[in-house]
Amino acid sequence: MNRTARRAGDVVRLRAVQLLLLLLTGVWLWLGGSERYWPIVGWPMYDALTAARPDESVARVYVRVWMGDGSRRTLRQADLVEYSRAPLAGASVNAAMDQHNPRRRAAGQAHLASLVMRALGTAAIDSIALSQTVWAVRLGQVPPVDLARPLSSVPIAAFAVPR
Amino acid sequence: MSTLLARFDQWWTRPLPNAAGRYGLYRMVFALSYLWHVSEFDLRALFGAPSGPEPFLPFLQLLPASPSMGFLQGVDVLLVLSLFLLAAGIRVPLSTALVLVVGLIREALLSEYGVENGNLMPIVFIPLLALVAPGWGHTYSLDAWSAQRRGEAPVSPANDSWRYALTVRSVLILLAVLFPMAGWFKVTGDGTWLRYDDLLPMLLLRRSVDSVVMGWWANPLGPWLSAHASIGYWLQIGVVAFELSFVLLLAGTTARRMLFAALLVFHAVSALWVMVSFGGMLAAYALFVDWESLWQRVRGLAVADILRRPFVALGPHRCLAVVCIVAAVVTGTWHAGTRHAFTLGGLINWRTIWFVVTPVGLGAILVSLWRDLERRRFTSRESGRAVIADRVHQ
Repeated sequence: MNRTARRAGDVVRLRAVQLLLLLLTGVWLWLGGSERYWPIVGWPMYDALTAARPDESVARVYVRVWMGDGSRRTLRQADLVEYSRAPLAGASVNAAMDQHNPRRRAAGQAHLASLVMRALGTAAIDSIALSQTVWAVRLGQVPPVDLARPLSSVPIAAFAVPR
Repeated sequence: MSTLLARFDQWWTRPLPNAAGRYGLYRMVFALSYLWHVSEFDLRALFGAPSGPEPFLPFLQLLPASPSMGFLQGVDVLLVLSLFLLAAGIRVPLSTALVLVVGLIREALLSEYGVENGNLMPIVFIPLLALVAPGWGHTYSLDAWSAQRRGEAPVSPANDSWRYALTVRSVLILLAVLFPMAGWFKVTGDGTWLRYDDLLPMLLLRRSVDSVVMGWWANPLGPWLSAHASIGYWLQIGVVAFELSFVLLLAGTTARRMLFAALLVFHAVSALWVMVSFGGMLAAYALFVDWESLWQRVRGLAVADILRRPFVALGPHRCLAVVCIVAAVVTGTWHAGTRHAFTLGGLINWRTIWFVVTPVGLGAILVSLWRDLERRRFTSRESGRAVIADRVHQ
């Protein structure tokens, strides 16, 4: 390619890049904070954030796993998937505890079992139990929660994992 | 108006030192950082998953409603393979297009479980810009090496043509638009950032509790924040002002370096205490590093020479075969465990990466700011001397 043609091509690319940026900016401004046309979204970045003072207690669901060899493992939702995808583990745990929809509960339990197997790197699992543990929150202290001293731990659901 | 447009074009068409080399090396950095991102999450975990909390995006209608295990595995494997080809510089335009399309599909499938955690900068904007403004395959690629063997003139890594600087300048503009947009939405949207004077302290306290319950560290400022929650108003104003100030990215090198230094601290604090990850943004920030000058500093070292020698001995065609074999082995064993190598067995995650990047980045920025200052002092001293010498001469 001779130099003149290459330069003409470069100018075309420059204009294409400028046009792309102009279009993106225009569409972002037009869409506001909407995510409807993902991946063309601006950066709302927590613009509608609301956060109240933490409650006096905090509750989390633990996943207790009985392994094929008789040992027991305890997993937090954060152990099941990478943190930024934690809502996936949350959706799975919520579905596995569903008392009203047996089909959703069965699907949730199957998916939760697959997440546990993936996290532990083994399929040798007998059963899984979900329990809700509650701790007192003391904002004046560091750390604000004493993990070793829960207020309560209540079993919620348990199911066998089909081999 | 025409003067303004001419100045605008001047800004775009200024030469950039080492533009071709740094763009080519950046391609590898981009691909490796993307591989790290992909390695963090096994897409097969979506198989059979219940619906997520986020609304269903219209984009997802283009994809299978309940993706099969094979589809999910295929997306991961194809993306990893494309990234390998991109890193090695094999069929660069095609591998870039594959990275864009497959990466977009992967991120869309995950959007139901946290659309705000999407990493659109590396997934959409950078590959898209690299397609519109190609050239990152012209240096440090097997494509370029093969072309050279065919007799085509090689592109020097020291080439400072603006054609290789289009992506870095575009990303600069994107950042100068997106960050202020985030600040603007905070002011004009629901307005919670200006309405509540304790929004950020409460968020920090909540995240501190979450962090401890997950087995991580608490925020040591928690008790103080709890007692001085009204400080939040000024914190919130500060965040909005910080985001709006990103238009200054276009003001010049010094302003840009200072903003990036502040940004690294901001991201580290976000990861540590707000539990918000900006890991994907690293791929965008890496565009502003002169990788070519770094490479020129290390290439003389014995280790670099030892690493380079076998590739040179093999030649482009055999290298291509070796890369294809390695890519096949890595993609074939990706889900069996190879992916963990990219996180060093989980050591480098969305949070810990900032403990490395922030001090290193801050150090590099401060050194370059100091050098600039010294250079300016030297220049003004020299020009002062020249004036005195001129007067004495007269």
